[in-house]
Amino acid sequence: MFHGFAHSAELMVGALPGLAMRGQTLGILRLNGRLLFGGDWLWIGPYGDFYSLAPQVVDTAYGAAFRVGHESYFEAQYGFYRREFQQPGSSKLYGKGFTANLIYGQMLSPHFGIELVLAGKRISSGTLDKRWIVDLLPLISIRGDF
Amino acid sequence: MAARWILFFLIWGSIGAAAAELELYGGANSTTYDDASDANTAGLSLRMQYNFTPADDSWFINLYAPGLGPLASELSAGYLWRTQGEFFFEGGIGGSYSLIRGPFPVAVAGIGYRVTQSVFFDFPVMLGTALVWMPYIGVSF
Repeated sequence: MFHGFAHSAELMVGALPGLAMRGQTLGILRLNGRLLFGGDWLWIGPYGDFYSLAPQVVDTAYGAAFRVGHESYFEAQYGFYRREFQQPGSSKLYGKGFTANLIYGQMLSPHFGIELVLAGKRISSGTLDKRWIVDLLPLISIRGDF
Repeated sequence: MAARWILFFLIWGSIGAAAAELELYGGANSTTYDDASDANTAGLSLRMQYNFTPADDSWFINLYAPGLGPLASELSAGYLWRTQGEFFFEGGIGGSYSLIRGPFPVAVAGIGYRVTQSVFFDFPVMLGTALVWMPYIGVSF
């Protein structure tokens, strides 16, 4: 039975931590956080994304998220996107554009789950070359309802 | 060649034991430039570990394919000791081989969390020619 919007809220983070040390240290951190409001199966709210995929490259994004489902769910996110690129001894380059994420998620317990995130990113302005970026990545999700 | 050995060990393990664990993590990416098509890139990376005994001390096989082609891939095997319970600690030793670096020893240490009876998260540090810490999503079957 559909109960409408805003009868509960949740804070959720999809995370990927990683570290590799071979000659240089390569840290990887992806965090996709959202605050969603909704009912049994329909949720909507803001999201923010941080992805440090190399020592020189950091992607950030923020926008709106829309989810259908709760234990198993599909979620769409759309927002503003920015990439920063900096090597030691050189000035910082940046690119701006938009991003869209399609997420399939499955909760394994009330607080832990897994997500598969298909992300499309477009750099359309800035000092970096214009490009399309597509990546597919699983994340470990942590959820809290309140 | 490496894929044949993995298949052999998976079948052998499945025959020898009714239960096992498979741990996986992977991703894919591509970049397409508007004005520099020669610089376009695409890659697929995979980390996979097969444990012959679920939720306990076990022999394991690990494949690390970082998406740079078979030359950079590493195939490891060894023995892993684990504590029991929802949260677990693990440590292991073994050997590894890659076409670039040849054979080398590896050591493993990590923590994990069993979300359900059959699904768990694993965060092992693998020390070989490099130190790598990455998550796995594991399934006991």
